[in-house]
Amino acid sequence: MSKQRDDESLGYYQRLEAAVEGLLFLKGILRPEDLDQQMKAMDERDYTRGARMVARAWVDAAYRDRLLANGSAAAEELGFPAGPLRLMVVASTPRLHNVIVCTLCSCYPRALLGIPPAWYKSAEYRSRVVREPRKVLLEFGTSIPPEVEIRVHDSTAELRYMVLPLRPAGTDGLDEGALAKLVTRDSLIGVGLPLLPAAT
Amino acid sequence: MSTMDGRAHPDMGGLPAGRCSIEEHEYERWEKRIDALLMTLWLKAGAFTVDELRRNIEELGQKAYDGMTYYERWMHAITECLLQRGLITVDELSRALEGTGTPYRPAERPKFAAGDRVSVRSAAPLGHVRTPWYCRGHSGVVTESCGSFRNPEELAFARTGEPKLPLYRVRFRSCELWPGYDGSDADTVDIEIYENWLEAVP
Repeated sequence: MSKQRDDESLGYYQRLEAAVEGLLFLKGILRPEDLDQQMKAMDERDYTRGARMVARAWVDAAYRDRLLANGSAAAEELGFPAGPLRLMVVASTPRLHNVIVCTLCSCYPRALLGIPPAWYKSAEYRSRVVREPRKVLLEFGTSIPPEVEIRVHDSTAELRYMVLPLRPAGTDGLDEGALAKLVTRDSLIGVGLPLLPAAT
Repeated sequence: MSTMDGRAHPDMGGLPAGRCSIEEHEYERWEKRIDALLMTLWLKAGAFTVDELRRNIEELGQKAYDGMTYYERWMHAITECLLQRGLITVDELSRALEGTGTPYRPAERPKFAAGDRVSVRSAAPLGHVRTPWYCRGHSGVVTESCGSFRNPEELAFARTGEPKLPLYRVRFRSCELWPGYDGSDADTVDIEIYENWLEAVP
């Protein structure tokens, strides 16, 4: 769905951004420092925050309960701002695999995990993952056995979602820090699974 | 806004589509800047809601939607929201794009009179504009001062359109408007143009 960028269109929207930004500063609607601060805040956010929450939930049953009851509060508990919208964490089990999408636009737990990957916003992912999730997951290299239910969560309104993936087998001896390294961004969206210990 | 059956184009769940491209790419600085602009305007300044942004993206229509990159759509919609809320005007935006900055203010009397040589600003703002693209950046001669009228760039957003703008008829030589024009050198086009789009030619 995204076109080839030609210089003309790239130039126009880039110039539009600069013009609008300058105008907003000039009119006192925004301050330059607010924008810089937001840039910095987004650069600091990425999926490793979600990975740390998942690893904590894998080793601490009480935290897991709190995470599933109130994802936003559980994020704040580890010092991660969750943003103004309710974060709901959905747990995958041996019989259930969760996947996140926003078919209408590109809703994503961006306050926690940062800017979503390009494919998450693509027409291909948004169109197909609700209808043929198993095929789409295969394109990400993820095979879900037929006896496992796949549940797709479509973020159409006020909630944002993150998957609590199943803890991989053979990780009993690992500490929280080592476990966090197994959690990929894709496993938090549900198109992937956590890494296996051997792969790290 | 939507296809023939009333389905909005971005509402695409379940439609046939190609293979997912799982390539990663890092966003450019200006794209991250657009991201930050939206978040700051929405969360910090309370300038507009995300649903206003979404509606403006949906109203792009399928062709424009598919023809633009993700952050181009955002920038288009952010600008539309600011214009719709009256936080910026089309005139301010066009001058910011030109880098001139000096906002237009109508004077007591029309600035130009019949016989004056004028040039049309070559700005390209978003919003509703009554100055045809083909005359922007060209020079012509005022043939008539037509009185003052409410500003269509503001009326388009359901605002008063005051203060009124002087309107002129401006005559352009066709051979200057159109490269390779194959008629007579004497041929002309007369265009109605509001004063905020005109500058004096020294």
